[in-house]
Amino acid sequence: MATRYRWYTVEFGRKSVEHALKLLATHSLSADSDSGFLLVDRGEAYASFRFFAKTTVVVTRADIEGNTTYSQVETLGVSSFSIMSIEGMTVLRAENPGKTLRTLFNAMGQIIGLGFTTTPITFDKYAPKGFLKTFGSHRLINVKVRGTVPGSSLYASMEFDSKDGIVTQQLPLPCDFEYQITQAVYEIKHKLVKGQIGYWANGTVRVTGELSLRLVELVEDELTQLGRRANLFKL
Amino acid sequence: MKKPLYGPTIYYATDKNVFDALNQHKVTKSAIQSMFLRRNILVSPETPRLDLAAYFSLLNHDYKDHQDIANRLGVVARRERTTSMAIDGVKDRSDLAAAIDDVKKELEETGDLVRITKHDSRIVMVIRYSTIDYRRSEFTQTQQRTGRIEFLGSGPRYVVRSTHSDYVIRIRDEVFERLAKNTSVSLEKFVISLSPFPNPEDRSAFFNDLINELDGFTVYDVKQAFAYKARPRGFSGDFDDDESFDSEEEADDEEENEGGEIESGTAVKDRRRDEEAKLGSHIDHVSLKGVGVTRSSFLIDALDDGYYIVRTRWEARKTLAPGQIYIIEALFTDPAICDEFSFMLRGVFPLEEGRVSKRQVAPQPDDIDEVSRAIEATAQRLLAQLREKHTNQAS
Repeated sequence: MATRYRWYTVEFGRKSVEHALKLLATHSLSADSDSGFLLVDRGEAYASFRFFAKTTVVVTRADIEGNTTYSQVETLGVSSFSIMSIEGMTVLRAENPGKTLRTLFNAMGQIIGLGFTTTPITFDKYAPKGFLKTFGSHRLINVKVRGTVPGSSLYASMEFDSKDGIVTQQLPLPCDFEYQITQAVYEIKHKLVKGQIGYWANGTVRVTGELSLRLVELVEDELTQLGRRANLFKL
Repeated sequence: MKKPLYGPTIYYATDKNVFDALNQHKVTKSAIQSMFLRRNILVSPETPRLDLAAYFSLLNHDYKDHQDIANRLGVVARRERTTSMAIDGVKDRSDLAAAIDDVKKELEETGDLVRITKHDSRIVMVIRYSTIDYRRSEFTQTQQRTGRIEFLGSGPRYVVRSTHSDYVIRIRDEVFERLAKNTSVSLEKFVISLSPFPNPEDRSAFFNDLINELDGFTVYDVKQAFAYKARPRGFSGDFDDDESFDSEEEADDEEENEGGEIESGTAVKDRRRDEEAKLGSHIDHVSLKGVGVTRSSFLIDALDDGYYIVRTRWEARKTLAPGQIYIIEALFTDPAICDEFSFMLRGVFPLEEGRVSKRQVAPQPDDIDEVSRAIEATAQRLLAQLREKHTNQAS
């Protein structure tokens, strides 16, 4: 089963991480609140939460005459996230994030107050994939590129797949085609165990297979190192 | 509040101005035909507009002609923001009604149209007036406007909600001056102002809490925030003020610091301000637009640097009945002292087929009323909390 992750650097203003985590843990879902948090796991440098938000879904009904009516049904949205404190940096990892994390961040902002900031970590300039070399075998099996052809108004988006592996330098692209990789999926083998890791330019990472948890750990280690080097995170 | 009956003189349109005006699409062909008809001249629909304009501009024009053209070319007034205050000490509702009638008479003498409607706990005064902007070209100088003042409550405390324009605020104040004069009572005003709280953190927190704690509403997204920081003391925009740069003084300051004295936070801030003043550059307003603006590190960095929020626009939905999204704006017109609070329901994203539409529509009066009540109540509550906090700190 595939799991998607996204990372955000977060700051809690004048509140310490410890204080902020305590505040979140005390705001549980109740009858008179729209949303709430549940502390699932707490370690020395991390805390895992479930976030519950009351939401509505639109139900379309058609009667025997064919007239359509719409009604809203209340439901409860559940999402999981973890907050990690790594060498002075605070990173929020969202698990299987929806289209937007607005509800989660709004709820956190209301609890923590002014000073709470979130910055998404994106992979439009680099992706944390240096650790792939440490595996016995890894190959690029899917890549999506997007770009423009200089001197023309052509705008192209291309996707390549290969079970045998892709070498990006050998892609059959038009001359002088200036492109950006927007999606890349690698297949990894480690001692007969297979796994896949995919990177999206918007910062999403998708992992599948038995190596999933290990891959996420390695991505996070590299994110921290790269972030520190490139001064991408506020320290 | 006295408005002169006559003058200063408005620009008088010449035949060239009339010709140019009639050639603009805002003056319809039927309007031109009716102007000819008033002179007993029949016009064929086939006659080109250019010929009609050329002929009409040769004729004598009176005030009515000019008004006809100006009404079509004049600037359409935009919906204005609302401001609110509470007033305590009105003993009798009839006294208030009498003061309103007094002001109405005076306004009508100056040419304004005033309509008053009274309900159980609401007196509404609608004023139609015109403003003249001499900087504009001939036919667009006159602007027809409508102001609205609502007196809500049944005494002795009233909430007064009015259009945020100088003229309407003058009328509102005049009503209470008359009331105080006629009944010889002292009225206590409660305006929403942060001028007694100069701390930038308090001012920014007021807006943040207003967004997050708005009675009956839940924030959906913050789209805009404007932060302000007053120019530093001794600041001059003139770049040639090298003489004011006292290098000896700065050298003395450095020596003092080397002596091991640790500067206090205020001293550091003052020093930075002075340095900014010497550099001749300062940014007063920072405007941020996007999504989740209050969570952006741009804004938080600016706030850490002494800026404070003076204006914000956000989207909210009703807490109990989540559905349409309301676009709300609140600001202090005078950012330096955070005075003259006003707000506006800019628009609504309605529900269409069970989903929130992407099409923004103008708000209904009921929506405006509901949002206004929520903002007034929340702002007054936050202000009371702020007063209490400072009173506790002082004691």
